[in-house]
Amino acid sequence: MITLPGDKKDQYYLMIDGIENPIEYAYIPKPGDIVVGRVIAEKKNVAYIIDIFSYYALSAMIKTINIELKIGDFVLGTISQNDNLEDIRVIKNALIYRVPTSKLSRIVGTKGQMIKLIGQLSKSKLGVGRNGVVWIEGGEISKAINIIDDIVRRAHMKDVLDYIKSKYGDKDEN
Amino acid sequence: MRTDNRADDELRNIKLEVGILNNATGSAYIEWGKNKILVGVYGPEEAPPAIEIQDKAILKVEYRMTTFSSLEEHGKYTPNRRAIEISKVLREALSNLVLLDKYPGGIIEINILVLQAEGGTRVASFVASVAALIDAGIALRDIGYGISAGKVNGRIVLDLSKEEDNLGQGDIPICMSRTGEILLLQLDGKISREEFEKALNMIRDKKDVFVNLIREAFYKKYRGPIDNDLVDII
Repeated sequence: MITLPGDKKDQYYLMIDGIENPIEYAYIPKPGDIVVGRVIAEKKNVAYIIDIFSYYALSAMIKTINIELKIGDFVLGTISQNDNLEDIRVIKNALIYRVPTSKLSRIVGTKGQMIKLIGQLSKSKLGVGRNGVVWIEGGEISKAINIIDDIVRRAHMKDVLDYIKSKYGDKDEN
Repeated sequence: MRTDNRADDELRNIKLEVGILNNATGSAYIEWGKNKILVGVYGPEEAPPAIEIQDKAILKVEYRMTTFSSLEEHGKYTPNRRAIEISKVLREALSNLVLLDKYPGGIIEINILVLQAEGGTRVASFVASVAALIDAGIALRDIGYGISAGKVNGRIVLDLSKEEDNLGQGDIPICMSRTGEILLLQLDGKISREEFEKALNMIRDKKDVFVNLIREAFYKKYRGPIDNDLVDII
């Protein structure tokens, strides 16, 4: 059953039966979210401007983060109440891959089952940011990306975990 | 009697597809009679500081007719008087459906390209834009639909074709939301109050056609086979 915006009260997005999340939507920054961003500019001695792949960029105040950043660095941080990025740490030697925000919960899976499985199959370390960014460190990166693409394509379907296990797991044993 | 033997309230064949442009956030393609229209939605993105609004997003709508898309507009791809007018009325109609205050300081762009025109392109563009906005995952208050009514040979009919539009006595494109709010209303010609009310009621009766059309388009996208390899459909 497919429901459209306006079918129910306070429904603004398309929804598909069985999946609680709307199918696809733009990321809206919320305080407390952990996100991955890219440093795009520096205001001298005041702040860094960080693109978080939303429809506006955030700033990180130099005084509060105690860390030196370069333009182009990818950073992990928490959004604070006044739209700043805090608790920043730099992500190094990792591949940054973007997925639709709404499909992120499928990539993490219930109790993190899916992301653990991807890590096992590709032998790499993975992490996610709320704004739909996945970073992949070491192992078979291309395999991890193939699996993530497959999950995104099947995000509206059931039993994706079993599907991924049977498609990528068997080949590994042979 | 109409030029193509349709009943007074009969619509032309409508075919709607969603999610066909890979690089757009959301997209739709509509074939309504001989109209062929492609819509791409881009955004929300950060608006340029010069036009930015602090507490809500800007909606930018661009309607364009391709060269030779219709007999009258041939050879003109640059926006003409007609394209600028339709872009404006569609922007105003759609900004009443989109929850713009969810994206403060953002911009949402809607590009409408008319590949072939045969009467009623502004209402067809409206329906396709609504589908493309849903596909892009932009928050909508409700879905909308639109039909152009008109007066041909003294009778009120729905969905005028190009010939009927040129020969008839009047043309009223109307777009509304499901709850009945009127989002777009234009009138070209002379029509009495009773005739207008009759046209409005005829359009209201067609609501379910459009709701099902949009629903089916998304059903095809999400429940159809993925990438041509056969998958069990749940």
